Formats: sequence, structure tokens, C-alpha cells
Amino acid sequence: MRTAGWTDSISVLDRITAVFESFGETEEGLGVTELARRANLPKSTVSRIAADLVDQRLLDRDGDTLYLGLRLFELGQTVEQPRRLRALAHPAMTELRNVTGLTVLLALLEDSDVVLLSAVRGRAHTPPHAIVGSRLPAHATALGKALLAFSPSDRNLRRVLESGLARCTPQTICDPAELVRELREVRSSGVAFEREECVTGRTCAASAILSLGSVPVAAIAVAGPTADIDDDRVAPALRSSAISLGHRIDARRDL
Amino acid sequence: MTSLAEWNTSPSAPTASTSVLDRIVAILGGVKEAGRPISITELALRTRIPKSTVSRLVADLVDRRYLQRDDGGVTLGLRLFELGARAAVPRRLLMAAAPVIRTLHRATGERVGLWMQQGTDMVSIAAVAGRLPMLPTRAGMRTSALTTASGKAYLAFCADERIVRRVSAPLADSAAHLFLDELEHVRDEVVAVDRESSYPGILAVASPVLAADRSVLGAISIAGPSGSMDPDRVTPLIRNAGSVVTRRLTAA
Repeated sequence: MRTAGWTDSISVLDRITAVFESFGETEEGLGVTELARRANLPKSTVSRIAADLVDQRLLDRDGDTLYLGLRLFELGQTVEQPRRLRALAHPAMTELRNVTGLTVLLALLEDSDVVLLSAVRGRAHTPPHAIVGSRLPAHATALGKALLAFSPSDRNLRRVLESGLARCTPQTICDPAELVRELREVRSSGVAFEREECVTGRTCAASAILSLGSVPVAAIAVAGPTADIDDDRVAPALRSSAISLGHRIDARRDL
Repeated sequence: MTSLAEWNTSPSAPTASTSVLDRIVAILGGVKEAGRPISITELALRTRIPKSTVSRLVADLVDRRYLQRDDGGVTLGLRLFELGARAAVPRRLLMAAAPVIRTLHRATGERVGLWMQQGTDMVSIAAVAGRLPMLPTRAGMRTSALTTASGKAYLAFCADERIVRRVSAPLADSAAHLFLDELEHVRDEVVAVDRESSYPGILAVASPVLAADRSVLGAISIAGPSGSMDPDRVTPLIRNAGSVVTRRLTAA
């Protein structure tokens, strides 16, 4: 094993994390120079870190290009909560896709973001493709608003408001009062909408999956080009999907 | 991609010079293998890292969401899911293989798996359950490359002799010769067979998947009850499946 200087540092984990997160929300590969620029670390340091990470297969190397590695895939597939939720929701997601023709998404809330757990592609080419494993700001997404609306404490909402309600598109709700008002509506209707608030051209509708009728575990959504989403048609389908998934989760104590 | 394979799976006790990264990887691996919330004490025993070190590293890993605390122990954290979902090579392989896996499963009703090599193991990239409910079938799990059909299919086409040597290291001389002969045969047939040597009562057949530069990337396999799955029927199917995935990877 190499005993380069960087491994002695107490901030090994921070540097590794900076390298991993440099890969962003895409699957594209990066060279060492670009990796160093994005991680804001010296190129020589990144070059040593990368060599060690490749040895451990935390990164994969193809020529001069580096990718997030097989070992991360292996560990990632084993994380309990996403694995169980994905397996449990898959039949309902496929059915919802077949009924609506739209892309169906599954996500959970962490801090002020939603983390996309699973996607079943719809017939239309939804712009752009939602990438499993990516994080999106909760306030700008139907998935996030559905989960925030049913959060039992206002801790999550407070975090989201503290995060500053960043603007993603001209339609993003950036006014705290407006967001709170909309969450109240979501709570009564059971369905949250995202009208080009995250990605221009894309509309999304989501329902929270509640355990024991009250605790939001995850949210299920349909997404597609704005013209393809008929509110009155998708809302009932989403609500019933979310309710039956909630029952299935309660039937399985281990989730 | 052969340069990737420099990973050593031997569970030797870490020495004083073991790097922080080695320990982090050992801890994440230990939590994964536990398959349930695992305590610091147990993790220290499993990884043979001093308990105080485990305790400190676990705290750092929880802090950065690589691990999470759960039921008096720790489990793998959401950040690993986020990063793992974006790992490009497994994803590319999966995209190329998905329709082939579906077709093969529909045609046979047997368990179909997609594998990549890591260390002396094969890592499951995807698995579709067949008639073998007793076998765990899920992505992320590992099996030994030495005895499985997918492992032998991979090794037969692996250009890096060090990997083959490391995997076959547990074999005695005569057995090692037989193993190399078998790999030679796999190269001729482009199909590897595992007759109940990994799991009693289970027959598995696998074929390699090659990258655009003709280096071996992984293997696709089919497994069923050895009494009722006909090897003569599935062999041409799996050989064809391997070459279709290879072609789709090259075209992508």
C-alpha cells in the first residue's frame, strides 16, 4: 500500500468526499486535472488520492478517465432503506407508468433535499432524464413538497427555509410564505404539483407515502413534458398508489 | 480495464502502516457483510482494527453520511446509495444487458445474473430470480470467482495473469493445473460451467461480456436446479446472450 502524505492527514475522508462529489449528478468520467479543479485540491494530491481509490475500486479507471467505481456500486446496492423501498415500490411504479404513460419516480427526504431512489421511464422523453442517486432541492420539486407537507415536525421545513429556497427556474417558489401556503394546500389535497419549478418544460405531480397513515417514508411521483400532465387524471392514480404503498410498508414491519 | 483489478481481498490483519483509506474500506465492508445494524465492538472484531480507531472512524463516517446509526449499531448510509447509483461502468454494463437478461429469463424461467470481478470475487450487478428461491439474488452481493460459472467465464478471458493467480492461490498444484486447463476449455467454448461446486444441486452456465477494446468486463450467467435445467439447451442461449451484450456495449 502506498504511504503517500495525504493518507496521514486526519481529513482523508473530507478529501475523498470532495473527489467523489466532484463527479456531480452525471455518469460522465473525469480526468485528474478536471477532478482537481472541481474538488479544489492540488493536482498532485488528487492524482495520489485517485490512484489509491482506483486500487480500492472506489473509482474505476478507463485510460486517463476516472469514474465512480464498482465498489461504490456494490456498497450502494446494499444500503437497506433504498433497497427495500425500491423492491417494494417497483410493481406499483410499473403499474402507474403503464396507466399514465409517464415517468414514475420514487424519492425520500433528507435534510433540505430529496434523494431519487428509483425511476421507471415513461413513453415520452422527459427532459432531462432524472438520474437515480441524485439530489434535488425539496422546495423546487413535487416530491419534496409532498414530503414536507406531511412531515410530522416542522424541522424539515425549517431546514428547507434556512437553505434559502434557491431558484432553479423562473417558476421556482422562492418566497417562504408562498411555500408554506402551498404546503397547506398539498396537505389537504394529498397531491403536490411542480409546474416547471425544477426543470423548464417538465411538470411533476407527487404524493407522500405515509406509514401508519401519518409518517412520510417516501414519495411517489409522475413526471413528463408539461403538455402531457392532466391534473385531474394523475391525481387520483397517484393518491391510490401512495395509499396502497403505505399499507404495504406497514404490512412489512422491517421497513 | 485490467488495471482496475489491483484490489486485495485477503482478510489479513491490518498492520501499523495500514492507511486510513484501507481502514475506511474495511469498516464499510464489515458493515456491508453484517447485513444488519452492527455494533462498534463487533465491527472491531470483524475488521481487526482497534476499537478506539473504529469508534472514531465510524463517527466520521456517520457525520458524512457514509454510515448511519440504527438500532444500537450502524448500517450503510444514504450517501453510498447516491454515489453507487452513479457508478458509470456497472451502469453502462447494466443498460447494455437489461433487455438481454429479460429475454433470457422469459425464455428459460431460470435465474439470470450479471457480474463484474472484484478482487477474488464476482460482484452481482443485476439478478433476476428464477426457480431457485433458496439462493439470495440481488445486486451488490458477492460470490467466489474460483468456483462460479461467471468467475470462470471472466478469468478465462482476463488478460491480467496476476488476477488469475490470486484467485487460484488456494488450490494445490495439481488442482491449479486442472483449473488452468478448464479455463483453456472455457476460452474455446466461450462458456463456463459450474456443476454444483458452488451450491449443491445447482447448475450454472456463464459467458463473458467484453468491452469495446475486447478486454473482459464481466459475465452473464444462468442458474437452475441441476436435475431439470438442460445444459445443452441453455449453453447456446447464454453464449449468444454474452455476445449480444458485448455487441450492444460496443455499439453504445
